[in-house]
Amino acid sequence: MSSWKAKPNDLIIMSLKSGPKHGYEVIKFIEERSQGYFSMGYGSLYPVLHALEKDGMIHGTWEAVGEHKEKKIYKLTAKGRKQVETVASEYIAFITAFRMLVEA
Amino acid sequence: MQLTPKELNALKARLGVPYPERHEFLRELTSDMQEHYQRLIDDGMTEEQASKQVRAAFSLTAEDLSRLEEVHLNFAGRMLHIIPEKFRDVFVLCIKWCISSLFVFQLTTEAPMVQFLRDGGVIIYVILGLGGFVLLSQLYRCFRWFVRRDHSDASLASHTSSPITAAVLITMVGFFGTATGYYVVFHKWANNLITLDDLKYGLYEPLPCLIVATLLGSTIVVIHWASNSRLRSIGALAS
Repeated sequence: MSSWKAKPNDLIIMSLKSGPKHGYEVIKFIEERSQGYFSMGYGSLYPVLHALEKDGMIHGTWEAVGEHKEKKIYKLTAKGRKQVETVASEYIAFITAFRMLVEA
Repeated sequence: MQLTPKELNALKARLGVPYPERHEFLRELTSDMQEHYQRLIDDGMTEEQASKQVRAAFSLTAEDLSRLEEVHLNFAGRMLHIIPEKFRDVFVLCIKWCISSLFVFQLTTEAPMVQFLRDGGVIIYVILGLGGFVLLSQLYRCFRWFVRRDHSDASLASHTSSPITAAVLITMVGFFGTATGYYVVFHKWANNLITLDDLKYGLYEPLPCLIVATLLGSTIVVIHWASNSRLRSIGALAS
């Protein structure tokens, strides 16, 4: 089953659906919510995050955490939210069709 | 947990991402590393183990860095990336030589046709040649830094104060040309080789050297200052 892969940019925008997150949280969220099925390295995270930001799907802002710490928090833009809906419906259609094949 | 200056410099050197995005990325990376480290410490790991694990998790491969670089390419960069890497620098060099050749052609064919420049004598060609060479070099560097956004160490190393020295030199040559011209005119007048009527021509003819030299010199200084402040503002140079 490990050969079934989702696109990293789809996983990232999906993870931001539940609320703004910084890079580390995105990775943890994907791993924890998919119970380890999906995993992503930091090396592949940043190019995708930055590409999504350039495409206007997500928007990153720096927020101060505590006295000396700060984090870049990403949140979905209106375009990104629309993309989430499209991607989610595509995956659901795929899963439904596949389930029907399995259960036939 | 903090990256040591050595680690940070090593990562900076491997990053082809231009400024200010490079700073932003390093800031983001260190902040996420800190977060990961803290979580491992909270889970009961020793500082040494946590530090080792974080460094391993955040080690970026050449492929990761190349993908990151591609994301931050601007239009000019994307256009240049159409050309295979081994021919890219040759292509830019060819463009540079074409522009330089055009400049030399204009200088040798068109400049002598302009009366104003002809009045300055031979020395004005030295000023134009030197000034043109420095200006072209500056424009090439500006193209590299601000259009192509090549902020590699090698590219930024070419940011020196030599244009200022060249601007001073050009202005001095201009002063020298004008002063020499006046000396010749006054010498001739003192020895009754020219009339008072000729003197009025002799008073303005040496001036083009000074005018052209100060114009070129000040343009070079302005371009240098402007590029310097732009590089500082994007964080490519230490303040």
